[in-house]
Amino acid sequence: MSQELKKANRLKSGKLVNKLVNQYWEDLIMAKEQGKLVCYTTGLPIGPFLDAQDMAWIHGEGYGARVAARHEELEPQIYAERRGYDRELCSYARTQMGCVMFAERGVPLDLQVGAIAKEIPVPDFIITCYPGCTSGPQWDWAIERMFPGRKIPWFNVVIPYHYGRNGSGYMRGEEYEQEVAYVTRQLKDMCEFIGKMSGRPYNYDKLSELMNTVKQCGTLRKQAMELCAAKPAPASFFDWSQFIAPVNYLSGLPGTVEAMQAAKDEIEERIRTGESAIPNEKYRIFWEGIMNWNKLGWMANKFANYDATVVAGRYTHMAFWQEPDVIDPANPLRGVAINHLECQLGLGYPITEEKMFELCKLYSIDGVVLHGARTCRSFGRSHYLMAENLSKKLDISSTMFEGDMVDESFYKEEVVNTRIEALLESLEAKKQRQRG
Amino acid sequence: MSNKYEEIMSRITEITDQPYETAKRKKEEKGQKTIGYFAMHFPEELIHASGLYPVLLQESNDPVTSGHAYYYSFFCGPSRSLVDQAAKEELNFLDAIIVGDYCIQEIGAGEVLGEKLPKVKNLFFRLPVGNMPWTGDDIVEGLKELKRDIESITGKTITDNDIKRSFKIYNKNRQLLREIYEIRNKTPEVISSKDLVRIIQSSMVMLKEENNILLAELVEALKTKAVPKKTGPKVFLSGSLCGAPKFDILSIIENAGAVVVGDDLFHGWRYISSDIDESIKDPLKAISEYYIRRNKDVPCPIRVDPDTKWEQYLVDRVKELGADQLIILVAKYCEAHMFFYPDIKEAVEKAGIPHLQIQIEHEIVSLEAVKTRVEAFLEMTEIAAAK
Repeated sequence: MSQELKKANRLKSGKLVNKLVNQYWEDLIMAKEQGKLVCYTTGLPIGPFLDAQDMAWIHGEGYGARVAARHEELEPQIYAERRGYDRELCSYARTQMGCVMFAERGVPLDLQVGAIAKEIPVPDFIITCYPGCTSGPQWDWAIERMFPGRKIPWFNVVIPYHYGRNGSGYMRGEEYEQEVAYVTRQLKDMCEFIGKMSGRPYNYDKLSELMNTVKQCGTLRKQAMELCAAKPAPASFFDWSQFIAPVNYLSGLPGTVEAMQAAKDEIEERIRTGESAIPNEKYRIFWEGIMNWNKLGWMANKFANYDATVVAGRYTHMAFWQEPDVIDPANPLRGVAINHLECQLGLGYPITEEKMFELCKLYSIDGVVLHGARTCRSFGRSHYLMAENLSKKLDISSTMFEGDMVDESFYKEEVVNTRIEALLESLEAKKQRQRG
Repeated sequence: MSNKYEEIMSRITEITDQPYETAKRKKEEKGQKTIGYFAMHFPEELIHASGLYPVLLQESNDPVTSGHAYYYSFFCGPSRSLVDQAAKEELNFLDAIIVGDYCIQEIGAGEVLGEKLPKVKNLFFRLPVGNMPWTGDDIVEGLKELKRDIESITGKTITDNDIKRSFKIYNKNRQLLREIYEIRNKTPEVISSKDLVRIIQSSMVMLKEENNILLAELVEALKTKAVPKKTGPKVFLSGSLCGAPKFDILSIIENAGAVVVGDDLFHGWRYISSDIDESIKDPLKAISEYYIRRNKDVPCPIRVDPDTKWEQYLVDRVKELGADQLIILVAKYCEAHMFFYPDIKEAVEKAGIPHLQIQIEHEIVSLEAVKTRVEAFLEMTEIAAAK
């Protein structure tokens, strides 16, 4: 297979996201000096709940991704490993914990640490809101233990698995309704907790305003993603990965709606002019698994080089305010609960498969890449089932390689190349059989 | 007199070497349906009260082969082993399996079993982690849902009296096992670690009523058993293992001269430390209270309760039992334990307790390397003590 140096045609509006992200982290470092309380949070986006009370937050995964995107992740990971955190542990967690260790224990003389990695403010309290990953609460508990002299207040929103018991499915059934009520109740309690932390009554009016912004942003994103059913696709999974920040830890902030509107406008323009996400789309791929943040550009160009558009993925398309229609800004808690409960990571396998297969049909997917992130066992737990059933039920081939979110030591580039090439060769053979 | 002990252990060994045979025989002979469930936090009493045969699914000693067609190799041994057992059709005898939402790797394994065993009902137990003020009530809600789903298998209501009868039997079982531990605490050499694990395992796979009879005999036999003389360093074994610790590792530790004086293993003290409070009127509330209290008695990293301090528990237990050293068994890829190990390491180092971490893999690649490390560890501490 020829390998000319083709590059991905990334969305220009991605620069707006970069600007928002950079500003956010710069503001965060100054948060304590500005008199703001700082919350550490992991899992689902709860930023608006904190912003409503004029607080700052560090989203653990977002932080890890940011550090990795700046290629500053190695030193915190080394420091964490020195303390005894095994390399097989979630790399987001190891990255953040290494940075917290820099803040609490000082930077060792032999480590050259990047700016953002050593300037993390310490938490005033912690909120966990994790779907589908038991490591999330364990991670936050490990952070809490890093401050033995202080008792850091901690609130845990339990997002139960939506397993699919007794016929319950995506946004339907008794299990679904009971669990939505359960999460809604906890979100209310979380608001009271945040109010207590601030020493002021909780500002539900401001939460409503922020959730209006979230709804707009989520709606625009969903519309823009659905436009990518067009052939060739005007944007790719790698663009949508970059656009996670406005619907994740930047949820509700100024500029997020404008950035998403710009993305949608750019996509509509590309469809009009026939401009595509890669120079020559021959294959349409679904990315199954989490993103590898320190390899985003590298991976985008790799697939472009193979004439394969990675059109959609479970990570981008089945989470992060994926159901904006159910959000009622005036009374947002139930809508938030629905989005959080139905986040892809917390769905039982039959429901996950149902939704994933819908996406494969919508986006005319030829093949699936299963990214087995070494330190994210939550994402990878159903990969083999998916591979088998994609083939049996949809006649869609898949390939698999190991990687990781923010620890690039788990990559073997030649294995990645070989696996992708094998998939594309099988897709090409299938196309030829269909033509013949 | 020791022959009586050996005779009972021979029966126990036969049961635990083929852990599902007892359940299979009951099914063939009496048509008793069987529910398999995953470690470590599971209301077995609820299954027992339903009249179904509860089997705590065990990590097999067989290498994972067929299972790797369904689960990545970088998942923990117990979860891969269960997937492997399903792939090899060794779990087809089950009528239902139950998995709980306290460990993502178990959940994943449960989902694979759900797909690979379509004739086996796939149930789910919602057990919230954390210690919010409402956690206890939330656990009760999870128990109600589970009870409803178990009842759908039998077609019969599980009454409060049924559950309370099961409490008595299970509490009796734990008391008998604790009696064995008390005998061991006084004279650690009287029973090997391997035998102790097998005894606990027998409780996990037998009907508790029948196991109680066996254990009562065993307690009597232990009281009169000849005790071999051993004067090696006293070791406390710690781990958050869902599967039984490898017998090879236990043998290496004891053959190197160590005397194991205590543990917090699931196939050990963790399984039996606490009883359900039979005075609590509502049995589901009693089970919920038991989960929260049991975790305070022997902290589990999966339960995520910041009011518990596993690291301090270990320091206190090691001192209480007069252990000289601590050996920590970490199941490879066990995230809960990997998050906790650095805190334990710092706490025991501060307390002056020598410790060794051994990573347990399902397929142990090099026992010689483990042997060398254990022997060196025990020798180092002996030399330091002699100075």
